[in-house]
Amino acid sequence: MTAVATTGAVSPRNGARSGLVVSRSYQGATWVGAGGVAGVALLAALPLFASQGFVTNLVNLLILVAIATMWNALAGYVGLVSVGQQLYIGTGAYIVLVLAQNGVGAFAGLGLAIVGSALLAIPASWLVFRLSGAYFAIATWVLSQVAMLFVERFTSLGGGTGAPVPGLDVFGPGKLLEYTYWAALGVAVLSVISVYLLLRSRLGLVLTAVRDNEVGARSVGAHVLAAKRVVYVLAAAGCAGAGAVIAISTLDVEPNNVFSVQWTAYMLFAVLIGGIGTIEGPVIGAVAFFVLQQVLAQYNAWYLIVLGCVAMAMAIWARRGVWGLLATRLRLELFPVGYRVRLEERSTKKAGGT
Amino acid sequence: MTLLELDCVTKRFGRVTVAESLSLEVAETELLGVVGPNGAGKTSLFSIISGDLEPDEGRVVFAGQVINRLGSASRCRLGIGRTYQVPRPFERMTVFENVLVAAQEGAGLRGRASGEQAYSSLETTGLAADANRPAGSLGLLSRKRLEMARALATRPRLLLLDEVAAGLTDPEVSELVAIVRWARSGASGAQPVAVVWVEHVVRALSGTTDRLICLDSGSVIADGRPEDVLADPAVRDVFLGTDEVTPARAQAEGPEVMHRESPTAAQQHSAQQHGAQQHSAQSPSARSLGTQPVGGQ
Repeated sequence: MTAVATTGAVSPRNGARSGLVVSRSYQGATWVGAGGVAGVALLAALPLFASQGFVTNLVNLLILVAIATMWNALAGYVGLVSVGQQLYIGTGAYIVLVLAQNGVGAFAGLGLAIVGSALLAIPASWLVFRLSGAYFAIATWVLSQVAMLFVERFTSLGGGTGAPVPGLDVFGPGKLLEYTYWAALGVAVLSVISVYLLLRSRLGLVLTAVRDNEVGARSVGAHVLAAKRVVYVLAAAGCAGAGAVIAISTLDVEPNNVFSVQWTAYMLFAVLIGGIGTIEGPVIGAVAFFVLQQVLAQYNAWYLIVLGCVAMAMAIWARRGVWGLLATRLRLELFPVGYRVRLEERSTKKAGGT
Repeated sequence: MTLLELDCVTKRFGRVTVAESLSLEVAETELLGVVGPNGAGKTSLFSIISGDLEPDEGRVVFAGQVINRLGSASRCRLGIGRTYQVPRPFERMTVFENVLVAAQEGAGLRGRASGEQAYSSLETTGLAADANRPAGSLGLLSRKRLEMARALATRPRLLLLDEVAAGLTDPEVSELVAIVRWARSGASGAQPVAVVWVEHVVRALSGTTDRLICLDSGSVIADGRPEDVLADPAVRDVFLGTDEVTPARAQAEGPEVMHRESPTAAQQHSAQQHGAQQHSAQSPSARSLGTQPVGGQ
């Protein structure tokens, strides 16, 4: 307990620390990983036997998973509370539209929409990163409105009413739904995996530190702004992917829909319900939101009232969301992003947890 | 050789001057203590060195490089490590991860080397057994150790300690003092470091530091060997009455009390006012403080 005792414990073993083991996994991680792969494979096979209505609903759920995951990366890790992510949903949708009007297939356009929006996010980040907190939030929203007003100026894009995405009729309705579903699944899975890989990287450790204490992170030498920029660009890419899928699944691009602040409300709700600052939270929150939406759809206005009450109740009593409650109760961790350390050798002092 | 130099540094917030053409040199491997009453500019001095505040005038030079415009992250990478008075742990990360970030970002280490550096910092500060605990579950003393472990893991050449003793009991303070000594000696395998230690509890510093400076109203009013500085009449003026009060208070209140600042501040202000009335001729800075309305009371 005393410093004298500890210093005594260090000195004899000076330098000889071959037994330091840093592990990044946990027992059963392989099984969880295998389960994840099997789950995704099952989801991918779903259009072969599920009804069309169900698959259509799942497309919307997968879009929500993607955008909630991205908003969580922004707000949950680096404290960027954006209410303007619809900017990138919109740019993603419009890139698909413009490319399709020029003869590029919609699904090829999806890839280009992701890359293009990520590139757009770099100059945009210079603009919005000049502000912080609430001012940042307002700035992101203003930027999305500016983008909407900008695209509405183009009559070739349908002005204020939007335009249909040409070239989608070549697939036929059944096939188109299948392809759309797989595209949505791809965007959702890629979003989650990219956030997971980011958090496992060296930068991920910085992001987690920024989540917990930004000033502290800076004081240990972390370049916080650069880390934020990486996340901002990634979130733009993910939201653009979702926007492209929205354009394809609704068959047309309406500025009032794709640039709607409603999308941000959805992501925010899903993240708060599921648990902010975790990888699992937004996915669970998206599913919970989706189920609530389906169950309550028949009650019209009550639907919004109940959603609002659930959101408030979670914000007051369960600030770490459903996943926060589950994870602390059951000591769960599906995505191993942490570090565990122990000393392995004749040393009597093992660094085990308590 | 000079490691850190402040050259006529001035910083003002409106009409309040927190540093008034302050000049200061810290030699390599020196342990410099900084004392002074509340509002003397101790924490501001600290923030100017660590990069949280940019001075209005003057230069801050570290290892021969002017660092006025560098942010705190860049200064940390250059070798200025710091602790905060109120610890800032990454609560949802484990203790080991807390220190690992510091080793990777601050010291620029990668892979295995970063893990070894992090673990050795934990051993130095006596936290190795808690390595896999979430940092949020630590008590105050352990949080202060973690602050120090994190700062040490960045492999600093200059370590800034901000009121490490605040809120701790005497034996706990002694433990931290022992850790600082141990870290400085280079015995832990790291390079020896210079330390600038800002402390409110004067007793924690005496017997530990090579040199002591006393700040008041943003200026250095005494600089020299600790016993000479503490015996200086100007220093006794600004501290009148408080150096007897503080040790007893620290013992009585125990480790959990983090809000000692306000009652102590009120006492010190009243001490300053008292002193100003008695010695206003000698101490112009104390007089100017005394004439201002004091919010703390």
